[in-house]
Amino acid sequence: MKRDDIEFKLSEMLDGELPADQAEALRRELDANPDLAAEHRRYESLDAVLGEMGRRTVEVDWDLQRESIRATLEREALLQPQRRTWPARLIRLSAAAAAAAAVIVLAVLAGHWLLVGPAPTGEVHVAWQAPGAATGAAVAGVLGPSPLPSKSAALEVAYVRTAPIEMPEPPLAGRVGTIVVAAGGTARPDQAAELWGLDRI
Amino acid sequence: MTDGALVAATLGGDRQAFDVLVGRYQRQATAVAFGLLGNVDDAQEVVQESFLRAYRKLSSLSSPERFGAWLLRIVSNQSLNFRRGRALRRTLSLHPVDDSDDRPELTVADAGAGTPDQAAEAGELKEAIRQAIDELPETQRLALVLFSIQKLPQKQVAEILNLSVEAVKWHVFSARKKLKDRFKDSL
Repeated sequence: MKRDDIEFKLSEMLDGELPADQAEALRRELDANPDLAAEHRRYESLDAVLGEMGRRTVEVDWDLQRESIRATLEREALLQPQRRTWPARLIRLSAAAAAAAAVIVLAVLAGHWLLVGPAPTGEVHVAWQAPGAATGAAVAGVLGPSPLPSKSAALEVAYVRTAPIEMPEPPLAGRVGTIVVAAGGTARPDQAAELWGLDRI
Repeated sequence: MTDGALVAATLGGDRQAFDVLVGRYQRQATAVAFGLLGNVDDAQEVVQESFLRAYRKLSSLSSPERFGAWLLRIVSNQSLNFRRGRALRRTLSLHPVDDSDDRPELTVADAGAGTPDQAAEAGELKEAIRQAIDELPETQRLALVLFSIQKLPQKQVAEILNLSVEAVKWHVFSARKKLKDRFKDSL
């Protein structure tokens, strides 16, 4: 047996992975071969040092880490659409609508693009729904992180199927449907318009 | 709730479900990143970025029940990218980065080190081995860190590295052998 093969078996034995009969044979060989026994001890010492490395205590504030991840995700939900290239300025937001705090349903572009609100504080949600989709049907694409609240029967979106913060594919250019924007709290519709490079009318 | 159910809930828009996944895996993810980076601040940065990536790519996860292994694969890859970036920054810098910042803020348990001299010797050996691990080929280093240092099961290491269990065994062995040969006189 080649030296590497024997040492591989030593490594396996160290991990308790060597079948019992082979382990027994290897132990007999270790008893008979001091050089091999010395190698075995080195592997054991090395493993002990490696094991100690893994037992180091790292000072981490787990709550803070979780909170930081949560906050970043929320921020991303707000900023994500800005990173993508919207093929056209699809949504036109009314300045009056932007100022309104209550639910806004604004139909522009031949009634296909709509704006609704509000969403949970600090969040902006966007979704696209195919025309004629049944009330309560899954939206085709969702840019926001959660199901969209809507008071409008025509825009009743009760269930979101696709991944959060993903742009609908293929791009929205030229597609007929409904864009739903829900903005709430500090995330105002006009802020959304700015983030996504939308025209104001 | 299983990982699969939490992934489905997250995809359905339940952000709190993802919070649960973060809570479930943040320790393991940080341990893996720390094992590969040796710096707790860098590890936390990588973990944060990894969770964000996981969130963004969640819909591409074909087996939601394997979220843990999938996440740790992201953490491993991100850690390696981070290391490369760090090495590049050092190479590009006219003034070498002060390595003293890279020492982890840790409570190191050196149980059994004996006298102060022995402890110092053991500490030096450990540090030398840590540096030698850094110089191992990437897959060997990952396999060794995940299996021998972080004590993850071979099967999980195999999932994370996208290798067979046998391949993991071989990479761990190869890494061990190199270290053993290099520190033959000290072990």
